[in-house]
Order: sequence, then C-alpha cells, then structure tokens
Amino acid sequence: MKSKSTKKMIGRIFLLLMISALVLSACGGNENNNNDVVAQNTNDANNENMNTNDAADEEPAMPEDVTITWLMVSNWPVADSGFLEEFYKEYPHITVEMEATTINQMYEAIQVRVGGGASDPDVFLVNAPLTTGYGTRGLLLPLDDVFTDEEMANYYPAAVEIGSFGGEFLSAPIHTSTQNLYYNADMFAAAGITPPAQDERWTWEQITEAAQKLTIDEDGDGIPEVWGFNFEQIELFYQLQPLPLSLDCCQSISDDGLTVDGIINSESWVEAFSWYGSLFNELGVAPKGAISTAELFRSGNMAMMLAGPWQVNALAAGSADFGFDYGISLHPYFEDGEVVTPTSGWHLGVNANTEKEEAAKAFVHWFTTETGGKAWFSHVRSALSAQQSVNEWIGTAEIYSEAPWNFIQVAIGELDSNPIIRPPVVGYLEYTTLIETAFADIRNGADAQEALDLIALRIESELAKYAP
Amino acid sequence: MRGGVFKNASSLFSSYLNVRRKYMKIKQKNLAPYLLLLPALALLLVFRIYPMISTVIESFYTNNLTADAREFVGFANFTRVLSDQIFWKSLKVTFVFNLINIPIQVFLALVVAVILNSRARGISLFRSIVMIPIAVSPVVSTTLWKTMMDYNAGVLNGLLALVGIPRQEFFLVKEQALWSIVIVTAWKGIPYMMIFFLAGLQEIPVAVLEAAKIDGASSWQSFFKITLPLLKRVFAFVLVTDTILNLILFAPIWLITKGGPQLSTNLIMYETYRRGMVYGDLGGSSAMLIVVILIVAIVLGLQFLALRTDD
Repeated sequence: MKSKSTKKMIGRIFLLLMISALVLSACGGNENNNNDVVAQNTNDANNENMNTNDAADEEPAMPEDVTITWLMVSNWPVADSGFLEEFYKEYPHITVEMEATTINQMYEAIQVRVGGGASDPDVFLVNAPLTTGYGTRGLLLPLDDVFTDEEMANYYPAAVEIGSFGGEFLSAPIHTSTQNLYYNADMFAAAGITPPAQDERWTWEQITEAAQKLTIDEDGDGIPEVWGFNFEQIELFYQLQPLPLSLDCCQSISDDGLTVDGIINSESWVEAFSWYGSLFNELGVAPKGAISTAELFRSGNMAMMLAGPWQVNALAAGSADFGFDYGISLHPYFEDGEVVTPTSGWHLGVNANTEKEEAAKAFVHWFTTETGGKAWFSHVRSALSAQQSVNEWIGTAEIYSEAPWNFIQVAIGELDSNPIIRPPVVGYLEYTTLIETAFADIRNGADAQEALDLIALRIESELAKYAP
Repeated sequence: MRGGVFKNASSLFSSYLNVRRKYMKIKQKNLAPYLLLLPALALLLVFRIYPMISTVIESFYTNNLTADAREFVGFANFTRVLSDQIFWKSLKVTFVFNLINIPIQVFLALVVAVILNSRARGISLFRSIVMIPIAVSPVVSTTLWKTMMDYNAGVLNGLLALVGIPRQEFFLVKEQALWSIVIVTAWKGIPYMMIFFLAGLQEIPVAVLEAAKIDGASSWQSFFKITLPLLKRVFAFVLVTDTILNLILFAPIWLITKGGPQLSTNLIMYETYRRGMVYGDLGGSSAMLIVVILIVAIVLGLQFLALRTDD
C-alpha cells in the first residue's frame, strides 16, 4: 500500500513538474515576442538605426507591455515629477520601475549584480568616468546603433569622449554640469560685505576672509548658528578636484592610470587640502559630520555654498518662504593659481545582460535625446543637459529668463571656464571612492599630508590588479 | 512429490517475502533520516560548501575583469595579497580590535550572567531587558547606534553636553572610531554570550555550592574555586564563538565607517568584501579570504589547546 501511494505521489510530482515546465516555456515565448514588438515600436518611433520587423509591418500588432528596471540615485526627484509620464506618452507599453538607492550603494549594486551576470537592472546610471571601468568588465551594451549622427553631434564632445571606450559608445550622457557660488545677500549686507557680481570670480582667499566674517556663534557654545561657507557635495571628488588643480593643473593620476603617489600627495594637493581641512577645523567656518549644505543654506544657516545648477531649481521652488535674498557668481580659484571648474555628469547605460534590450535602448534613447532632455529639465531640472540644443533652448526659453531662473544662464556660461573632467581610467571607481575617504578624514581633522600619503598607498594597492 | 515441491516453493516464497519486508523496513528506517536531512544538506551545499570550493578555485585565477580574461595564475594572487601593505594593516587592525573586544565581551557577559543567575527580586524583568539586543538584527542595531552616536544630532552627544562634556567625534576620528565599534558590537555580543554562561551557571549543582558554603568557603572562594573551573567548557565555547564572530565582523563596518577614518576600522572581512564585491578583484579577495580562514583556524586551534579539558 505504501509503495503504491509513493508511486502515486511521484506521478503527481512529475505531472506538476511537466505542467510547470510547459507554463514556463510558454512565458519564455511571450518574453521573446515582447522584445520583437518592442523592437517594432522603437523602429516606428525612431525610423532609423533600428532593426525592422517585416511581419509586424504587414499586420500592425499592439505592443505587449514590458517593464524595465532603472537603477538610479534616491536624491533625484523623479517620482511624481511627470517626467516618466512624458516617456509613457511615446511608449505606453513600456513601464519604467525605478530602483532608487544612494550613490555608493548603486556602485556596489552594479558591481555585484550586473558584474555577477544578473539581467536586471535593465538600465542603470553611469557616473561618466566609470564608463571605462564598466566597459573593461563588459557590463555595458554598446549604444552605437541607437543614435543618429545628428544626435551624436548634439552632445558636448567631452560627454561623448567620456561615454566611449574601446571605440564603442557605451553610456549616453544625460547631464553635464558645473559649480557656482551661491550666497545669502542679506547676510552679506548685515556683515557689510559686498558680494561678488554675477560675472565676478572670487579667489578662495576672498571666500575664506568673507566666511570668517559671516560665521556667527551668538550663544558662544562653539557651534555657530550661521556658518560662513561650505561645499554642497562636501567630500566628493567631482567637486573637490578643482582645488588642487587650481594650484597645479591638471593631473590627478598617472597617464597609465595605475599610480598616484607623488601626484595626489604632492605639495599642491597637500596645500589645497590643508586649506580645505582648515575650513572645518582651525577656521571653523564649515560644519563637520553628516549635514546637508543645501538645507543649511535654504534655512538661513549658511552664508555661502559652492553648488551645482540644480540648486537654482531647489531655490526657485521655495524662494517665497526663505525670507532672504540670494545671488550667484562664478566658481572661485586660488589667488596664485588658475581657474579650473568641474564638469561632466551622469550617463545612462544598458545592462549587457538585459533580456529587454529593445525596451531598455528605447528608454535610453528617448531620455538622452532632445525630447527627453527637455522633459528632464522641465520636470526634474537636475543639472544642465549634455545636449547643446537643450541648453540653447533653456538659454532662450522665456520661462527661464526671469530671476532666479536666469541664474541658470550663469551656470551655462561657466561650462567654458576651463572645465576639467575626472580621469576616465579603468580604476576610477577605486580611485574616487578611496580618495573621498581621505577627504572625509581631512574634513574631520586628519593631517592632509598624512591622510593623502595613506590613501595614495591604498589606491595603488587596488590599482595594482590592472597592471599589465 | 509435486505437493512437496509446491510446499517448498511456497515456504521459500514466503520466507523471501519476509526477508524482503524486513529489508524494506530496514531500508525505510535508514533512508528516513537522510531524507529528512536532505533539505538542510542541500542548503548547506549551495550556501556553504559550493562558495567555499568556489573561493578556493577563484584564488588561483586572475581578476575576473572580463569573462574572457580568466586565467590560471597559480599562487600569484597569494603573493600579491601577502606583499600588500594594506592587507597587513587591515590584519593588524583586526587583531587589535579582537584583543580589545573579546576580553571585554567575555568578561562582561560573565558578570551579567552571574547577576542574572541570582535570585534577587525583579531579576526576571532585568533578564528580559538584557535579552532585547539579541532580538534586534545587526543591521537595525548598527543603524541605531550610528544615529545615537552621530556627531551633530546624536543623543549621546546631547547627554554628554548635559554633564558639560564637549561633543565627541566617535566614528569620525581614528582615535575614537575603533572604540566606538567595540561599543556597538558589545551591545549585541554581551547578551548573546551571556546566555551560554547563564546556562552553564544553572547546570552547576546547587549541592556543590552549598557544601562549599558549609565548609566555610566565602562567596569569592566559591566563585573562583568551584564556579569558574566548572565553567571551563562554556568558556571554551564562548571564546571560540566570540572569536569567530568578531574575526568575520562586517555589518557595523559596512554600515558606519567603511573601514575609515584612515583605515582605523578597516577590519579584514570588510577589506575582503570591498576588494571582491566592490572593486571586482575576485582573485585577490578569494586569496585574502583563504589566508584569513587559515589564521582563524590557527587562532581557534590555540584556543582549544589552551582551554582543553581533561574530561
């Protein structure tokens, strides 16, 4: 009896497995069909550079729904902004699921998941200089067949250069960027200091002097109520690279991308970062610990900040509530040095293992060409576009001609002020994430020479694996 | 004659059936435990054995930068790791951390266990409170401590300010970061280790302690001459467990300090993770992991030798 029931049980399990296999294979078939339909839809939308589907031409079929995942950073206000709804107007069958995380966690997710061969996320943000590293690891799908020559020519050349590796275009640029000095005009007036004009460029020495005068500790508890100055992205390499390069332009790593000793711990770097550390320690004009510079500025607790053009949007959105006037001017530089500004920004890449290639490419194409570029600035207004035509549109659009929106013109003008890209080397991820820990240490009181010497050793230890 | 043949055949068949039944019974009896163990064994194979074998294999290959670039390199990854100053710095930090952390955790766990083993009034409430950290996941507890010890908004700095002590930087400076991690890990580690001590204490026969008391032994004498020697096995277990847990400590470093400031909390497990998972150096990371496993094995071996019991 027992053996009979066991046989029955085995039979049932086998039947169940067969049914599951059939259902799964049916699903697999659907997915393939999905991709074909998406390919057709993309063809219709772009009319070039895409494969055609003859069968679908003969009998137009309704595209089947497909959902792609987009790994992105959590501080982008995309949800409910209306941006994706613009995309859905053109691609109603594609749903974009956002997977938002912090920047560093996103780097890890790309390394672990995409590097491990996972098919999702289908699309992910690429910090422009990481294109080389991702390209070396084969994590990105080439996008050369996605864009027309005209669309490629519309990007700033530096954006195309940094998005390419090994002769292939691997990451399409969303942004380019720069940094400007934002100041609280009322605080300047109260301190009797004349702020810099919109087309004026202060030196870091002038900033230091003004910051000391603008820092106010009313109750004398050692914690100022108003801080004089801070960087918006306090410890990020993107924002801080111009400091040492202003003193000695323009090397941040050796030409072969393998050594940093003697460069990042050279005299000019130590001098620049000793000054940086003094802001938080000896001078006490900038706060230590986990804080948000932009929030302190908006709440009237920060007199000056060096920040990106996206802050124009954030400030304009709440300007009525601030209760103070503010202004913008050019990126500072060291008195004995030269003008150097940061540039480049986020790109979009398609996971080399995606199973929804056509839909992913359609999203990347739409996002990083003119319609998407304008929609992005209209709805999200995060940084400046990497497309020249979109920035020209911003420069001439009437809605952006009034203050404070016209501040964006100052930022667009700054794009030509000796912009320096971050080094597009294969070990950029190691380089940037490690050097930022040294910046954090210096900010928290570590000696600049000691911190930079140690991190040079650390970085070279990581880069050694790329040695031929 | 024919009847006899049939009789013989019938009895042969029935004895065959008997043997078969017995065999099936034995077979069923023997198979059952293995079948019951199968799910656990399968999980063990997938999540423990396979990764271990994979790590050993990976340590002999080049960095997995691209799928085509994988190449057997013998012991090259090991020589690279062993000649890497950062690896040795990380190992040194790990040893310092363990030398501070393990004695603190074991000593305080024993003290708390002795207190909880007493029959004082309200001890059951105190026992419940002490157990709370065990129920909290490492990620949650680490995040809580990170918030509480925040330089600007942490409640600990608020409390220090009330008694006139200036704000402390805790995780921000190399002089305090490792000690701060010790606090975070001890909060969970002490109650966990305490449970084993408490169980050990409750196993000690009351009659032995009472006999000692009748013989005039003081409480201290009873503790040092009777309780502690009887806890030797528990000590060995707690020490080994605590050593393993602390040598492979990861969550607080990953969530709070990322190995900083200035590598002062760069414990070896985090260094291994970062190399392999963040920077894609799977060969180097695997080689490092194997060296760590060997070191852990040596340390545990020494501990077993030191705490060997004769019985």
